[in-house]
Amino acid sequence: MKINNLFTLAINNTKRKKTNIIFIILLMLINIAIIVGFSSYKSLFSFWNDWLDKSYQFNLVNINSGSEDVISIAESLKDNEFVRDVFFNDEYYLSGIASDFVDKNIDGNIKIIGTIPKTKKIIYGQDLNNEINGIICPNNFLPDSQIYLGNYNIDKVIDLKNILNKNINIKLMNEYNTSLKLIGIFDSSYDYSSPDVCYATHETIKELNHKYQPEFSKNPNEAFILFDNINNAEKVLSKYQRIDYTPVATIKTDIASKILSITNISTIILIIIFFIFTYLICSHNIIKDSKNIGILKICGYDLIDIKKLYYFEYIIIFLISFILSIIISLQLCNIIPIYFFNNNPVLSFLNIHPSIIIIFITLILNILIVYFTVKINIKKIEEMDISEIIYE
Amino acid sequence: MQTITIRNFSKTYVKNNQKIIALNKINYEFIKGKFYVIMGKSGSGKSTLLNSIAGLIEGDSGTILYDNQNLTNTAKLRNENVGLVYQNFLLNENMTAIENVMLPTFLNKNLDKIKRYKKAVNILKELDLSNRLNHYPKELSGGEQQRVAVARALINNPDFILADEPTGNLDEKNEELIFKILKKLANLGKGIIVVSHNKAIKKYADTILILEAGDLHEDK
Ligand SMILES: Nc1ncnc2c1ncn2[C@@H]1O[C@H](COP(=O)(O)OP(=O)(O)OP(=O)(O)O)[C@@H](O)[C@H]1O
Ligand SMILES: [Mg+2]
Repeated sequence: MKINNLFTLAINNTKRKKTNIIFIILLMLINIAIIVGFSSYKSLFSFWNDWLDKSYQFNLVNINSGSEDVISIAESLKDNEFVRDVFFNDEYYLSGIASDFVDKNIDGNIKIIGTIPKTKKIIYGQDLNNEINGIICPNNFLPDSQIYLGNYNIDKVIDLKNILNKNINIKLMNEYNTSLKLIGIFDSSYDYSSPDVCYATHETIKELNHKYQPEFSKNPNEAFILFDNINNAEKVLSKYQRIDYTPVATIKTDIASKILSITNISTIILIIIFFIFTYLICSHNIIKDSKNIGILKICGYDLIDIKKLYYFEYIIIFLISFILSIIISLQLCNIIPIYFFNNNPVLSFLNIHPSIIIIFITLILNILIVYFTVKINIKKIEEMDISEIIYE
Repeated sequence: MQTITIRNFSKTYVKNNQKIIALNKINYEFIKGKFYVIMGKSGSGKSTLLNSIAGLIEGDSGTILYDNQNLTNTAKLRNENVGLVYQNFLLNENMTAIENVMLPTFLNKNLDKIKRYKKAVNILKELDLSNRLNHYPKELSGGEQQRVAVARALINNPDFILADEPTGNLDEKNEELIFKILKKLANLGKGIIVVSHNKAIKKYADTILILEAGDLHEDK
């Protein structure tokens, strides 16, 4: 049979059968679920693994011991190849209220954390340097104590570009007015950062702490170690038997692995359902069509023609549903983070990248299922007695 | 094709270990241009015989020769040389009348879209269906559906038309119409082989054949 005749017939068949429309829609839903599901999985996976891996808070360890030898231990760790930074509690943290930004939606609560240069990816202005009282803030800056309790929203984020290189007034410990200069804005999506946290050098933190809280002093039992990667902490610190250490942030292991396994398992289940379901519907459709196959036979179509016709028909169905699936999936990958994570200061910067590999795998799955279902079911009809088909 | 010759042809069905002899060493020669009617009791093997001639059923022994030739490609035979009509019309419900009629022509490499369409229109016109071209089978009466089926059987201009109880589902008026159409085709030179219970067909027949106990013979 000539290919254009085959095509005409197959298209006619495909568009006239009402079940095909339902079939296309259902297939589309499953394809979309697989593409979006696995893409989300992959994006989340790299989000937890790479994104948090390079994040300051997640590589920071707090060490503690009953005696004063923490200081000497800290000193000895300074030159360790896996250690990026060592500091003490008076160089770590400040809190206050950024009074310039307070309004009815924002309470102005801000935290300033001490760090070294090159821990954040600066996108405007400059990185931390020797300048005392310089701070860098995130590009999703939102000074509020309730951001993790639902008060975060991309629309409320304060645009800091206009006040770059200007002073920000901060009431430290709720009573001491001071002003710090915004010298840089960093990319909050590059690694983990909280919208209410800005960074300053250890020297700045230390100076302010001692200036406004003369009674505040270095705790000789406590230090902070910043590792290049948290996985090296165990290796480095196991040598020191008398100290306890705790990672400052540990979201990674518990929630992340749970979310990941749920995403993963549900997508795998979807694929299995996809196979069974597609096979059943295809089978049902072809067997229901046995009368029409009988008609083709009495019109002089041989088995090869009939097979070609059905392959063509199902290829058309799968192509339509596949192309639509991809278009819709791409849209969903863009929309899902905005829609679901808009209020989450951590996940709002999650990008779901539709993975080419997953789209390719879905395509292969579609082709396999078409091939085998048509093959198996046409064989069933081939084995049917002609009288069963014609005299039904 | 001038003749269809059946030689020592047998067909036995086996169901639940039970043998049913449908055709037992039958011999006959059908000649183009004649109107044959095959009669016989229900279950006597009439459909089996017709489908065997059409190559839809393989026999156990014996041969069927077309112009004294053995044929292996029976699909081509059905497409080009014998047109088939059945009691239940066997029209594709998803296709319009004209699409059903054109179905066999898609295998013909020499027909383009326009020629195929014109051919189908002409045949449907002759069968008085020119205003039903784009109706779907369920929008047609039984008589109209059967005429569409006859048109489909005719579209590739075969030498023989095989009809299995073509009027089984029709009323008397439509029955007569179909018989007349078949008779006219015989007069135009086609070989017509009709299986029927209906006594009314006898007056159109050139030859009446009786199938009983697996044996085919002319009615005397
Ligand atoms: N596929 C089959 N398997 C088993 N037995 C069959 C099969 N097809 C037909 N038979 C049997 O073979 C015999 C002949 O069947 P056939 O359909 O040829 O009869 P028929 O003369 O056309 O009958 P009717 O007038 O009722 O249509 C019947 O007894 C029938 O039960
Ligand atoms: Mg019968």
